[in-house]
Amino acid sequence: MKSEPSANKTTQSAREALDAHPAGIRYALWVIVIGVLAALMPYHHEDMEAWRVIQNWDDLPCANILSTVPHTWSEVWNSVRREDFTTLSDDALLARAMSNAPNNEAPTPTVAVSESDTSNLATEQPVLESAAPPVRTRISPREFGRLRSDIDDPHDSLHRFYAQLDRVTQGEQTVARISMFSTSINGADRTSSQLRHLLQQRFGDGGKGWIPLAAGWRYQRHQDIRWEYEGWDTQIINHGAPGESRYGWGGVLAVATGPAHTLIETLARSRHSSSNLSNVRIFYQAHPRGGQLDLEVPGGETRMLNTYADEVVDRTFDVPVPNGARTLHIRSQPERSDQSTHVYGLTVENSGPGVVVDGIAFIGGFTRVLTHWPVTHLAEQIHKREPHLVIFWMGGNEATANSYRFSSGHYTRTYRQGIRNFKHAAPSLSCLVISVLDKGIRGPNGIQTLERVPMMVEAQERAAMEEGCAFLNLFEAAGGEGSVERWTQTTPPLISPDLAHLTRSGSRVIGSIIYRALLKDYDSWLSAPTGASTAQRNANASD
Amino acid sequence: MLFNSFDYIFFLAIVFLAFWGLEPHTNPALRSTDQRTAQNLQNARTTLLLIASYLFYASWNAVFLVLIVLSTWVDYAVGRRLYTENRPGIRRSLLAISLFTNLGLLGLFKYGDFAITVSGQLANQLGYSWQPSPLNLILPVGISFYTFQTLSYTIDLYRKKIDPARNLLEFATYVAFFPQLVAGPIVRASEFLPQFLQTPTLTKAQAQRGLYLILRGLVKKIAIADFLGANFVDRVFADPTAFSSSEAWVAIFAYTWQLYADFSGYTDIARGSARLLGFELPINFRRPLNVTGPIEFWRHWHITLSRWVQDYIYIPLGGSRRGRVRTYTNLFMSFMIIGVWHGSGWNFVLFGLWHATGVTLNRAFRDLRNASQVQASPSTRIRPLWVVAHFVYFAFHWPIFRGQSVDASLAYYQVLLAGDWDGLRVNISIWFIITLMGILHFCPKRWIDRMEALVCNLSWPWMAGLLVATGYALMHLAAQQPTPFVYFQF
Repeated sequence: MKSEPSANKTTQSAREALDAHPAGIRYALWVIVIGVLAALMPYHHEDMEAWRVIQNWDDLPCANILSTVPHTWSEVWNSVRREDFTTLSDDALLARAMSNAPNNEAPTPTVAVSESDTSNLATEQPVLESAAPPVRTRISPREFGRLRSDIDDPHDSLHRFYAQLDRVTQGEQTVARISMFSTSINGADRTSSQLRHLLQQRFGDGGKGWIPLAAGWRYQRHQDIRWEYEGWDTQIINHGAPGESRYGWGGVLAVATGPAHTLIETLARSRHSSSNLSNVRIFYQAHPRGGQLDLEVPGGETRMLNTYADEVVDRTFDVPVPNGARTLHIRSQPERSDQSTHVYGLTVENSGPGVVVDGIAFIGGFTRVLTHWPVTHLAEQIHKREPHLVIFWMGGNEATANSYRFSSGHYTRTYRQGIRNFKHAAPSLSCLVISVLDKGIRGPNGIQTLERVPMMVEAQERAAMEEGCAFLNLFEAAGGEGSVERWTQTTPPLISPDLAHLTRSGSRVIGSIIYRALLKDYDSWLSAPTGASTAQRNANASD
Repeated sequence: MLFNSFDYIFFLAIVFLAFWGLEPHTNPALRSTDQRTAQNLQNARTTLLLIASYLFYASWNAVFLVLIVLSTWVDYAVGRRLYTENRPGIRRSLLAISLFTNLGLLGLFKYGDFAITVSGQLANQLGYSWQPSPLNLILPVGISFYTFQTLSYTIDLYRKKIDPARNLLEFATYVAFFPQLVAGPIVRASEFLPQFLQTPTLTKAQAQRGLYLILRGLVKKIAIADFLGANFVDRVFADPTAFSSSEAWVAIFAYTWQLYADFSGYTDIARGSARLLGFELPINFRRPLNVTGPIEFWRHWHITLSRWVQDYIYIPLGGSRRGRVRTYTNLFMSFMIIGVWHGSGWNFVLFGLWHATGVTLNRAFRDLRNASQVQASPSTRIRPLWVVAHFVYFAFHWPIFRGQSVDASLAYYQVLLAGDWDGLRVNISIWFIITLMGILHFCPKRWIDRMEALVCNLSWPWMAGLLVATGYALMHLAAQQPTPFVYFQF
């Protein structure tokens, strides 16, 4: 109970408040009036457009206040359940990615790329294990849908790869190998693993591809393996000068001067891929102080690999693996203090038919990294790895680094030199240059495309054309200018908050786009399998 | 509709004009000394607030309005009956109905999937092959807040501490009052319902303070919280392994300021909006990082939640009246509940564990010092050291709170403790904001009071100019789409 004086005090203050009361309303009203006038002012001046509170008159404040009111029971149900993005199909994700793109051509659904949509897979997907398709059966356009940008291959660069893919399609016991070189945008092997997954679902499981012995960068990953390692020092290609040192196919040299080990367990990402360890090939460097590697597979005998040689030389060793094995333990235990073992990595493949994709990323690397391998070393690696297609998806760091002074001519020359080194070692190697994606910066008018991105895309196209490679304008395929902003606004977001890297869902979308572009181009190749340019092929394909 | 959107500013202005338009002082047509007319006007204003509040909520999800209406109706009905009922058994049953309804809804929507997942895991551990499908229900925004509000009403009536609401209209408005509906502060019925008994007023000082609070809240949210989040913190938490240990440490310190600015910014806007409509909401933050330990922290951070837990959980459990061991147990239990209140999942269990352990140890340490006749609180000279120590202790637990899973939290801790100090890629603007927040937070309070008094006493042209200039500056700083407040997810 309050005391009487205190009650009187309260009543008095309430009375005072009541007496002073309308002053506050007048005060707030004036503020509102000034606020409204200030908000209206920019509409009288064209040059003040950026200051307009409402840019789009279709989007008036509170106009959509009742837009969540459901009209049907299914809308009620949908409004109380959250979406499980992990079960969202790639088609659905792609449709969201493109939903606000200018001149949008709605992507048509493919025949099943989603794990969750198994009914389509069971009925329509021509999986090789079950039935080999007839010779050169064209691919249904429903499988790749419509794309905003196709692969441009005027030099028929992809011929060798498609010929190999054709052999795979016809059921030969062979594998079509793709090596995809990129930067941190694929550092965790997310885009390449999506590409691997889709291609293997379509053409058969060719294996896990390239696996470094130890991560060269903090967040380097391989999505299809479980990986533990300890004791290795890694030397990465980014740090070297052109032609200075040997880094192996993956750009990471793992060096053990003391005890070191790596345990690899292969995982099955879907029912189309196998978790079996097979056709394991170790890529290593033999040298005068080379130590010994122990290779242990459960159920098999431990093999010892001596990495000694009189001079530095790149070698490979095929590890015999018993059926059903899933783990490989690699140990280095130098016997003398001056010994060391140098390992580049390993590959895990199946005998085919199938496709294998190496996801190789130089995190933080600029395009000039492609010139860092000594040419002879690169040639040896190419001959040992025997890729049918090399994909270059570089340029992400040049696009975003403030310290990098971009010059179109210099950039093109650097990129060309990198590609040339590959082509020098294997002139018939199929190569595909993929452009950078849209990259953004937060500015006064929201998120804007970085000015140099379209210039980089042009420079990359020029480099590809001048070196005889195919080119995919991924910038355009993913929605063109402004897509970085749209991709931050999708549900789920496709671009990470740094406006440069992809989220997990974004990687799925990009992997799907690259897959569709390859599939569509392969289909057009099937219409004229030899010696035709893209234009000729497309003309045939449309027949 | 987010507070940091033009939708909300427009909405608030409309509600403000309509609300005060139904007030006799501002509308000569309504001037009457008739008691009945005054009451009708009062009801009209309350109805307006209720409709506005329901529209505000419907702008997010109209279907979940059903839950608010259900909760409101059950508690109102239970409250009326509790007031007239004297038989203890029936009173207990009535209380049980309210608890079951409110906590049942909260449990279903907030903890349902977690319970299903844990049950499945447990069954598998016991050898049964059972993989239940999650419900994937959306968490209704604000459910944790309005559930606690309605519970406080029923429990206070059960304890005969308050009188029931005069009518359903006022009670429904108390539950759904839009400024505090989605993220607090958690207002007790005893604080809010009596305000309907008085004629609402808006003095010049109240209007100045209200507008200032809204301005301060918007600056905190857009210029500090969203900026830190978009330009640094979110990137590090999205993929901590891509950053060095030093960057990860800076990110958890920056996140401390981000979350504080986000949540206290929301509260400021809520209090400012309520004040412009003649209502007073309780303070929720009082320089919470300028403290020397967990106990003091919880007296300054999310005050309305800790006060609620103290009054409705800690004290009913026995509080500190039943010996030390029981006191520590009660404290531990209360803070575990605070942890789990924030969300479902093992992360939030660990989050509760972190704070429960911290507060309990803090209390034990204080008891020990009291018993040995040593000054319980640190001396002025070493106080800054304790403040810094607590700040680091507090920031260190963010990976648990922010991580999507225990694995994600562990990945962050691995980076924090990896000792990789190479590279500190933190923009100068981030350093500037962190430093500015530190200065504003730790400087003498009288400096801030003086500065606030200066702004609050501005005449209307200056206040309007300040609001317009800040509004345009924030408009250009803000993302195209307003970012939701962190506490919306709770």
